[in-house]
Amino acid sequence: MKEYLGEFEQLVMLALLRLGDSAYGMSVRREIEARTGRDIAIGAVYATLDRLEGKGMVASKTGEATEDRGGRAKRMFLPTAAGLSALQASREAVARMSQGLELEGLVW
Amino acid sequence: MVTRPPVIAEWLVRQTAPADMREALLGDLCEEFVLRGSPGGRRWYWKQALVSAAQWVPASLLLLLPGYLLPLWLLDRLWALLLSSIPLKEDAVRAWPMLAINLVVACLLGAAVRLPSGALVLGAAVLILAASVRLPLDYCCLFLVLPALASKWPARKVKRV
Repeated sequence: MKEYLGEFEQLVMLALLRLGDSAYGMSVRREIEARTGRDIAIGAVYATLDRLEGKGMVASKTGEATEDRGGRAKRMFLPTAAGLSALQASREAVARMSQGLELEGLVW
Repeated sequence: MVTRPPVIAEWLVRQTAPADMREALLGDLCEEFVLRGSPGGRRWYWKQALVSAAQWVPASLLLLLPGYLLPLWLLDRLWALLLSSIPLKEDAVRAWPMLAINLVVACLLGAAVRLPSGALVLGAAVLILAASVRLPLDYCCLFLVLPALASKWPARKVKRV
């Protein structure tokens, strides 16, 4: 059965793809904020990454610890094949649902 | 220049964030706090801490209720039943249900099912709940101790690359 991602999960997955090897919680938050203009809580990013990791759509490894992080290590994230597949399925579903619809000027 | 994040906000994050992501999250917050500087960084840190806690506490509470309250209530009923079957001398006061044993058994149950990290914040919420149903004070204190103990238990294992 195909798995789909929620809207914020898609944003997080896309941010991971954009950031590549340098993707960790705060860089994901900055990327989403910079590209969408949305004020994102870091807690929401981590909760989403944790959920995606639990579903096997994201993998993580421990990164570097720096002084400005209070000596705490980063947790680096990478999308897995399952995650990419779910992202693709979700994007296709939205594209199919949007096909032929003109939202601009549509009012109730 | 302030280089230390607000202590109470940091404590709040530490108490409410899931154990397996806690250190990375605190590191990220610290990094951004240093980058933003004071006072903007301080405000930003507090906002993140409050929003994150508000997000995690309800989910943790949902796990906490069946994880702690139900076993404790069942244990309490069990001891009450056992004690009620023991005849007492006239005017003797029946001892309060066996708190220590309840505590040990509840902790073992919690460890067995590997509850996610608990916290004093969650305990406080449960304390209010317990107080609202007029449980004895020492029994309510138990609800404060258990989540704190739970935070020492191992977190859910996640496969890492």
